[in-house]
Amino acid sequence: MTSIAWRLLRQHPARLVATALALVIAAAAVTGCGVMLESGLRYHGAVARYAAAPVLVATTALTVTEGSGEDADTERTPLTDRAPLPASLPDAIAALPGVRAAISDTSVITRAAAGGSVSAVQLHPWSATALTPYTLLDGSAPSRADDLALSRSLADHLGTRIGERVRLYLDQDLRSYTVTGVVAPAAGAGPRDSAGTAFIADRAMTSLSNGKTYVIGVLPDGHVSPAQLANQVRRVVDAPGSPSDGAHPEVITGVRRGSVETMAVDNGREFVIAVSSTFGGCALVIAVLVITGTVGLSTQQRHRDIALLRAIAATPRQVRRLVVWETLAVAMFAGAVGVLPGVVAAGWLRDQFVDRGIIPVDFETCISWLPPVVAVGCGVVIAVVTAWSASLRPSRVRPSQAMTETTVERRIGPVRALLGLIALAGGLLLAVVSASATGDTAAGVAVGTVFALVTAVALLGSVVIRMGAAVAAPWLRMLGATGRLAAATTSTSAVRLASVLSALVLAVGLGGSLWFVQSSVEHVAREQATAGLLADQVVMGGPAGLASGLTRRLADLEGVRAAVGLDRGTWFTARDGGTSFSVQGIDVDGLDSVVDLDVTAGTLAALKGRSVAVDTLSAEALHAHVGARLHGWFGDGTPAEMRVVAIYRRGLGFASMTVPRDLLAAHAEGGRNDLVLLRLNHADPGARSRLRQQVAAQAPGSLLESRAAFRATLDSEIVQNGWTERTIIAVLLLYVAIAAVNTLVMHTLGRRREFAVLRLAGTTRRQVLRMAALELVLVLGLTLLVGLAIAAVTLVPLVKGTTGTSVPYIPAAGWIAVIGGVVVLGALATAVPACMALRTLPVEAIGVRE
Amino acid sequence: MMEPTSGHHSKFPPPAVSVRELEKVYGRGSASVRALGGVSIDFDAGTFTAVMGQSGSGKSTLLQCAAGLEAPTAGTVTLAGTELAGLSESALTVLRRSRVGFVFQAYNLVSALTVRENILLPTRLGRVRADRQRLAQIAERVGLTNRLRHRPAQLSGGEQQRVAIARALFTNPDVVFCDEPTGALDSTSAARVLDLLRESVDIDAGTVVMVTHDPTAASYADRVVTLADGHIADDLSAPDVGTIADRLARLGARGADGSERCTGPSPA
Repeated sequence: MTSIAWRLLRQHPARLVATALALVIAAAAVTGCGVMLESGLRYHGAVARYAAAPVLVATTALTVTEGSGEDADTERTPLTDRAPLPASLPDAIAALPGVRAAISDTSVITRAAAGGSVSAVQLHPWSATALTPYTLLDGSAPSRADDLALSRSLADHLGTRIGERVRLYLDQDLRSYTVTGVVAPAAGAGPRDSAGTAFIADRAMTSLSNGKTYVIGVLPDGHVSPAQLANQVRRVVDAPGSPSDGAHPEVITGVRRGSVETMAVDNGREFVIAVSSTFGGCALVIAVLVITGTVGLSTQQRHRDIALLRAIAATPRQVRRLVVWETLAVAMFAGAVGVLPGVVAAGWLRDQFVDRGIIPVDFETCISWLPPVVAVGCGVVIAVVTAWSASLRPSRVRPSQAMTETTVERRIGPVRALLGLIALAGGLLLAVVSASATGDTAAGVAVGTVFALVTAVALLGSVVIRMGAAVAAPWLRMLGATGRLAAATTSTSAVRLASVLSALVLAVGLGGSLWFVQSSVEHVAREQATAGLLADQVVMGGPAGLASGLTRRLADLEGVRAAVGLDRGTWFTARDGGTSFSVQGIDVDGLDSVVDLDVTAGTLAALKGRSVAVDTLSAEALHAHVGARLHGWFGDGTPAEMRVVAIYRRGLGFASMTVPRDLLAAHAEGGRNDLVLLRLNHADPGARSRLRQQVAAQAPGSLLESRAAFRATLDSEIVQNGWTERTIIAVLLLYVAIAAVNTLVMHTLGRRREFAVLRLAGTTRRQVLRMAALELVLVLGLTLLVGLAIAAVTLVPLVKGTTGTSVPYIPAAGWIAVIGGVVVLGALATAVPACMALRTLPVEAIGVRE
Repeated sequence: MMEPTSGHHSKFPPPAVSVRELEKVYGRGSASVRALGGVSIDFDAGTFTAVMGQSGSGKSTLLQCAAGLEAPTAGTVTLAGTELAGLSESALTVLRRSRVGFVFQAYNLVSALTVRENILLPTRLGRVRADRQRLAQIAERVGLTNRLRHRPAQLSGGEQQRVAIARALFTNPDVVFCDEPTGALDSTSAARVLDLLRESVDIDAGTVVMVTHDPTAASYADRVVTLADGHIADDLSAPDVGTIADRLARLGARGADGSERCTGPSPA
């Protein structure tokens, strides 16, 4: 059987081009996602700063357990801010046998200025030099409260030497430090921070950080192995019994130490894993639909060959084996071809993520044999299953039936109709359920809904087409003979056209829904941010942040009506296994003059102490109302219970939750994403220049932007954040568009004989083309009707769930793209093969086996 | 004789193909077409039978039911000693593969395979080792020894039919069914094809059942059975071309008159 299959395949390879192409793209997508997934799983960040300490103690993740007993499901979420360790821990660890030293490390990020240069810098206590280790190159260790030792790269950047002074912009004010020494990491390694590293005296660090410790590095006695040391330390660190929910200190060894150095490692890892699994899953689901269509169509077009084999000598099983072997060969070939592009794509994706700051620069794509094997394996499984099910009917039908010159189509069978209705019901159910989907699961739910509904179309397609032809028949007949022909041929080839319809509907349904969910979310966010921003000027701190005293000082400036500081952080809820929400901490005084959050219940003036205002979407998700209590943790793992004092609408444009600034500041690393929003007195002409001077003096390196410029920055930020989703959606849409074009081309090319019969009967080429055009109009009309309905059913609940508005935002360009795209592609995909099919002489074409 | 036609030879050995009360209805309800209305006939081993009739008389349907390519609505078919009624598609195929040869009017060959592979196709699908000597013999018999490596597209219509016959004869079947094998051929090629069929009966003691509308082709047969409107209208033994043509014309004239159909052999 194999050799016969091979010979048949070699004769007409063009027949399988559509299937091959679909499989190649699927293999590339699965390989790319597999490589990213594996790289993400293996990524732990470089162990640079703590290279010399084999055992670390830190709190890096939040564990939340839902359910109990057997059903207990524990979620482990990485924290977004560093969590302080219990104060008694360093001494308790140092007292253990086998421990040479337990060194506490803390860091403060700030700005350093010397001469004319400014640089971001990370301050550490001097004792932490032993953890890398850093060795003194020159000078001496800092001993007094205002002594400073710089790393060599920082010293070069600032252009300072030993004995000179450096200004550090710390919380309350500007302090001047003396450089006493220059250090460099041993063995040429050391952290690849964009901020330079500097060390101050231990006592000075303690007062700066209020005695907090974030990491304890444990150094062993000479003869103790890291594993033994870890066990020792665990006795002190791990709580007895099963730990309750929350963020607890852990003992970390080996490769995992990399995630202790920066929070970006774990968060980047989670992101990559989530994105690659979602994308890979969606690609596979769509691949199944597409390949089912192409394999079905190509089997249909060979019914004569199959009938002959059945009549002569092949049992149904042998025929099925033939089709399966053929498709298997294509799958192996396609898999081999698709793997390399997939690997290249993964590398490109990694570079894009690094460029956009989503993952740290030391994230490397590691390519093992596993993703290609899985990709080829998936392709093979899909191909075999679709080929087998496509060949079921042709193999079982009586040979003489299949050998007859005309293929009379049957009415839809009961099993098929039932399955179609089940798929339809399933799709509608999914659509209803999708109203409660959150942002990250939105794409997956949309694909699932579209999948179910398009499967229903594929199963019930022949009925839809016959009904459509029946409805359109009177109008078509008015157009003369070609119209009548068009109506008749559409009606009688309904089963064949069903494959074409489902491929086109998939493209319209997916394109109309996925893309516009994303654009709706972005549009609403932009709208809310624009409408809610009342400030005239905004100071943006950047990575080094802004000192908390800056807001007060700017508020005291003449000409400034209000100055409000705004920090951003994260909050994890105790429900739903620790889902995270974005939080903004804002000064309550003067809040109303710089932002309008569109409050619908309660009042923001009540934001004092442990209180929170929640946006409408989060309120729904958390079942919260004014007066309710929310339990959860801040980004640094500190448990928090807050009372809801207000509910507002503009959560997408700002943040899902709003708390008093002092509350958040205590739990968020002072720095990232800090803003100061200002309202100026317009009657005072000198206010702006005064403001600019002050900001330059007090916070060098920060940006001062007007309202318009800030809005533009926000816009681009929203667009940037959506880049990943949009890229994934674009790739998926390209895939289904290619599949739709393929199917249409194959279908038209397969009508060569039919056109020849018409031409021999007296139809001119022009008339045949006109007939094909009318049929296309009918099919495209049905496509748009059904496809847009599917898109609407998918889109509306999803948009309601993710943005709170029931009307999705579809720009005019979107309508044009979807409808115009379908029409143009459909026309090209029919016209070109039709012209090609009409080029052969009818007498020759009539003898052609389809 | 009013009983259903049985073989003109003795009842022993058993007929190669035997059908009883064979009925076939296509379609349902008002659109139904009765192709066969209760036909009973035996085709004896070692005979060459021609089945004739106008279009719509049911001759192709009779052939397809007898060969197991089509399932009858009622009646039984016994082929090579086996009743076809209860057999699954797979079992039917296996039976056809080894015991039956079939030659269609057109589209007999798989265009992707060479002549040699086409001839060996049933054998290979039946996982039986091909006998090279027999292949050489058959190829010589049909006169295509030099064309074994060519593809069907490179052969003329007559040559393609000869390949089909070679394929049919290769497995040494109990019966060979032919559906208008010479319909698309010129008289020389047709004569060659009919000679081959005649040889297989005379030399190999095979059985041939051929559907045709051509009196010349029918004259090669030992027996000519004529169908009209799904029933047997005539059964002649070793007739010549003239008699056959005469009978056909009369059948056609009677049909045009609209007079009743015959259920048995008409008086000569």
